Amino acid sequence: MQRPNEMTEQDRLYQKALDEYGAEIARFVTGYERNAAKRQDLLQEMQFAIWQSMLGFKQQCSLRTWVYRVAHNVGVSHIQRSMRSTEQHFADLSELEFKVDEGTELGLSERQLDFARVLQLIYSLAALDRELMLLYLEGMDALEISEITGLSTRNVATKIHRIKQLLSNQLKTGAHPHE
Amino acid sequence: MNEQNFKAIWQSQPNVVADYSATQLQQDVAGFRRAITRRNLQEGFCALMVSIIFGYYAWTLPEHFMRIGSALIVVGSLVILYQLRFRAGLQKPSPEQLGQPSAMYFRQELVRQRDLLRGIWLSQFVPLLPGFVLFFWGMAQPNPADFPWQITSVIIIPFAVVLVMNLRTAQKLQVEITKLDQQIAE
Repeated sequence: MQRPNEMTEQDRLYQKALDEYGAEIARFVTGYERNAAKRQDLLQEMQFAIWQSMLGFKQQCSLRTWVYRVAHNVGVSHIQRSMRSTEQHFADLSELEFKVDEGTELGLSERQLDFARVLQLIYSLAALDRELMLLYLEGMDALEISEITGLSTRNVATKIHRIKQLLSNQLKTGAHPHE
Repeated sequence: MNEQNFKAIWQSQPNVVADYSATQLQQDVAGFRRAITRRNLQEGFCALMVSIIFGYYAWTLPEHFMRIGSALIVVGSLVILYQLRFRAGLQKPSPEQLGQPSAMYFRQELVRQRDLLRGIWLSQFVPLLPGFVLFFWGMAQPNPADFPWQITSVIIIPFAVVLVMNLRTAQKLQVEITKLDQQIAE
């Protein structure tokens, strides 16, 4: 019988995942929840799900891919719940024209402004597109994103192209806010 | 600034990681189980109350239809209780499901929500329907013209409104599922 504080294989895998990908998971949380107070709850929910999922991890893919999938699946469910409670509308990449609310920019440093713009863009996206953007910002390529999302590499590449365009538009808007 | 800078800005966020340790998780799992037990007890208590009240009616009321209706309401409430337990089991994703590629997981979530909304009237309303129909019919005896429409409409109209709203939401979810299927197939 297992003693209360004895580490199981599930616990060990979880700890390894947290040690190696904890920072990325926390950043994903920022992308899925704009309210800072609620982020801690979502982070715990993600970590809890990752721990639970370790019972089903049989090296089907790399630990990183598995952990990212679980984190984003929890994130997507979180968006779904938010949508139900507030009836928000999130845009597809194809229908999005980037807008920056200049009124929110007063008093922020250039770097904070850029971060705020990226966040604003992320929060306007629908679940799967948001995941794709977050993975792209983590520096993953189309093949890796495809493995995590289950979308074809070609589809992912097309969407990344669109994300780059959006970021580029954002850059122009940021550089010339009054044009 | 180029796109690499955006990535750098994104990745240089202050680290807010709270180390949710395996020991803490084990304690929370125990708390989670206690919460489920508490919820099960509450649901069981409600079903018990309905069973006692309508069981008493079934035993004591003089009118046959009302007695049979009361007994059916008891059975219906037990069926709902069973379904709540069954559904609660289905709602929790398995460890394997949690690690699925996101598009598949998202699709499963949408399908689950759609089916829940489409089927909720079947699982929450229909089990009680025969019992209430007979019960109210019994109240109108011996003169059917005395059927208590006002009481029944207070029950039926909110159910109908919720049903329509649920079906409309299910329809919206179906649109999302279709769009997602197109994305997966691309």
